[in-house]
Amino acid sequence: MRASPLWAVAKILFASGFTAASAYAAGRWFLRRTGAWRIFTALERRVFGFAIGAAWLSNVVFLLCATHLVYPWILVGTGAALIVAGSRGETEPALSKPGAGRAGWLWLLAPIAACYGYLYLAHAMAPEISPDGAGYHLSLTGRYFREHGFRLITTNMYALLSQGMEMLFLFAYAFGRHSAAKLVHFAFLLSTAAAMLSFGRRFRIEQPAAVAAAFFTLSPVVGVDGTSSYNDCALALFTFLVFYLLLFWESNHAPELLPAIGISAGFCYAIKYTGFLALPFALGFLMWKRRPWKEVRKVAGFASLFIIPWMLKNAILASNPFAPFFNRLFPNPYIHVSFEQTYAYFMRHYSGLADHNWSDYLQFPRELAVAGGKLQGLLGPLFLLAPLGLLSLRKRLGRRVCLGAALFALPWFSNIGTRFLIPALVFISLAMALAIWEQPKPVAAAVSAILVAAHAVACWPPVTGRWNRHPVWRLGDAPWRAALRLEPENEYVSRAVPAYNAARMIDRLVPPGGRVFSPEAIPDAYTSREVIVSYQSALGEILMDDLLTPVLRDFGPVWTFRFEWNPQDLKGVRFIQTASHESEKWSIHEVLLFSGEDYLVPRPSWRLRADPNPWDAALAMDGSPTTRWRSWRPLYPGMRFQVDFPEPMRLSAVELRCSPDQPHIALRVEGEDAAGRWSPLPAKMKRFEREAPIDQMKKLAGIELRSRGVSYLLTDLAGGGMNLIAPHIGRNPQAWGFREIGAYGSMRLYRIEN
Amino acid sequence: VRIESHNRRQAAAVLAALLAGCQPEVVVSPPAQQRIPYRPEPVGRFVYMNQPDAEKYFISGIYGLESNAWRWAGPTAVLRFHLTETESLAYVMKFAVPRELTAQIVPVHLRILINGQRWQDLSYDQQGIYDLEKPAPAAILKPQSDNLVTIAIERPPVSDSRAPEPKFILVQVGFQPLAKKS
Repeated sequence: MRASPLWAVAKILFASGFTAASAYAAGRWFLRRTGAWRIFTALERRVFGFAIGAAWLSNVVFLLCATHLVYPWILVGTGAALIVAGSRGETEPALSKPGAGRAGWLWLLAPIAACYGYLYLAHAMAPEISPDGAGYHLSLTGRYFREHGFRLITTNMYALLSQGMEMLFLFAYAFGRHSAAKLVHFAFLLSTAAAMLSFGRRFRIEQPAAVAAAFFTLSPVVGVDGTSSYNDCALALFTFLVFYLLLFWESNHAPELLPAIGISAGFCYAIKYTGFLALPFALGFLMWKRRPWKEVRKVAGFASLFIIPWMLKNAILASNPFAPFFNRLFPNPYIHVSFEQTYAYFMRHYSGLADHNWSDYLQFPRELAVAGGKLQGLLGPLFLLAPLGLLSLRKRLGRRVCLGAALFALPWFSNIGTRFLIPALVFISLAMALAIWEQPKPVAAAVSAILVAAHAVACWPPVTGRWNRHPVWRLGDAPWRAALRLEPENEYVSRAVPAYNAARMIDRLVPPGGRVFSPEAIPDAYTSREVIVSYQSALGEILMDDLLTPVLRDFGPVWTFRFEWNPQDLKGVRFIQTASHESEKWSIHEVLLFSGEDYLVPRPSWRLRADPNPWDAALAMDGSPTTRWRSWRPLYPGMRFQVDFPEPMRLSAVELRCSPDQPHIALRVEGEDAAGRWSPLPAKMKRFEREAPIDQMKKLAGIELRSRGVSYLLTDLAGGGMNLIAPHIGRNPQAWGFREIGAYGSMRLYRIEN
Repeated sequence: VRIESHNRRQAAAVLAALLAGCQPEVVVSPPAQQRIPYRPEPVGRFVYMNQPDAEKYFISGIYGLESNAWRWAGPTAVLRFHLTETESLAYVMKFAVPRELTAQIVPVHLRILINGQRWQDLSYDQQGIYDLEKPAPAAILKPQSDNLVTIAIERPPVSDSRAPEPKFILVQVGFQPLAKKS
């Protein structure tokens, strides 16, 4: 029986409210201890109390995850303890606000705020349908909740990102599931607007700050991101708080602010790697002001409390403190270097933009502000006027705001999705508003009113749909029936995200603990089974390769390189790859050694070394034509594959079974004599082709998946992306050893029965 | 790790290595159990398409069992047979040229290769069930080892790329002792 809508809504509101209250209490407690509470205005207390407390709460949940103590009753106890601690003690009156009482005209924005509040709240309360929210953000959150903390998850690159926000989502998810997590992120969006207003009061720019808050908050990409379980609006809040606190500190040199500066800067990294710039910015600012090292160290020290846990987690679990990046510097078996390169490339060139022609960057203003389809988000046409913000450079505050905009826009070049500009958008909005308010007040007020009204109208979803026909990620009409659970969650989500039904099918048909391999991502926040996606880990790529090998001739062991020489006693033999290529990878399906006519069966006492990717070397001596060792790095001279024997063996030939997808490889074979000296073998090389044993390879692909603990396969017969294998499997699943156990539309779920 | 000098570069390299966890060189061993095709499961010298272990004989180009009796094969079917002796053997094959194939290609040319060497070229104008039995060529057979048999449908040089892959029906194939004639 379906739970009553009222009960469902109550749980969601309690969970998000409890999380926000716990965060605020933690922040209040901490800021009172540091003395910063004393110098904050009432609005600053709310903003900084919530933000700094959220950072601490995130770290507390991190500790609970690390110690596998994530249980609802422990979370209730933690939240209750924080609320009690935060509410104890005398309440000093807040400082009177500089400029307070002069912002009455802000009420003119009230109708716009009410309309957008109505829209945003409905979306924030509705079930999660955003791609990344219903994908990894809440999938990982759900998994941590079910497993009571962190486990070794090396099959999902997203599990290796810093997840400061996911820790807060987890706190809310425990009681209110997906929508509660969304509301938590929405609280950060509201806090960003509040922080901008507070900044305006603090620095006596109330009107520009209010206008900027409207510019920022009404932007379509901000609306859809801030009402989903993403993290960009949270990052925007914290980057802005770093800036805010630094300017505040500059005005009074209050040491009480230093811990908050450090926490805000450190938590930027914890929220998202692209927030890493906040800390050097803060430290650079302090050093520029010639502050003693003690103060710089204090900021760095507090920041490190929020950075180091994530680095340690990755160093321990994935042998790479910066996983899933910098894998060349920190080689590991979980993320391939080639994947990182490809991923970074695609993030820099959505839809192929600017991949060959730098002049494509000229399209970006229109794409970001008006079109939005290629960059998966829309800032709104107002931001075509962003260069107007440069007029604010004439004043000191304007120059600083522009510096913030430029600095926090830098990470956008590593991922050109529109939402990666959200942190910089706060500053851009502020710079634009400052420029407007440098004009005579009546002019500035009129221009502001026109621009805010036009922005509000243009970004209202039904209106946006009239001038923008691109497939943009943006909000639709307010889904209040879904938000209030008058429309059942499954109906709403399955309508918005068809693949949701595949996730539910997995939950129905795959037993607990079962692992599913899927060529493409699904909204796995709606299944409790582990789904390994082909491109999200090294294992996923290897499994995908196993399935592609029987389908794509160029992936199969079609080529044989045979090296022959006069028989020699050798302690080892190795192959050196000497060519370079920007994308081609070296691979070996099988290495076969011969003494005369005799094939030497590999023995467990032999030792295999490969560079790069030593972890998979055994795949080149497992006797399976399906599997192969791959370099997972583009060709470079010096790659090697080496076989060592415990005693010298008489060898006269070696064969490499290879795939034709590496036409540029160049190989040299070397042998190690009994004295341990390596030298090139005087080998004659022959290359010939033979067709791969396709039928056997299909069966072996299934066996390989099973041996890796994967017993189910989800494919989409409609093809697309890595699902190109789906039609091949769908025609004759038995040939692969698969049995279809479920179907939804073109999606097929198979059990691997080999 | 001992730092030989105060060279900052070296120190940075050491620090990077420490951060990387100072992983020792990764060395692995070949798996103890090998799989096909380099140490294939043992097979015999003859296979009926409906025998339970028939798939062990297939290298490629042979599809699922139909009517518990036969399988589609082609355009290039490859099988392996283990022969202890190579003398006095007959190559025996029961197969069918289906209507679908003659609708595509007439005449149908089948080429048989043994261990990669061309052995027989056969031609059929009509659909039907055929039995082929011919003395096997001992010279190209390998005793005490697996022997590969390839049966390929020759496609016309110009063919419709949208047409389905040409296939024939295979019922049984392999090597039998040559029947002694009285």
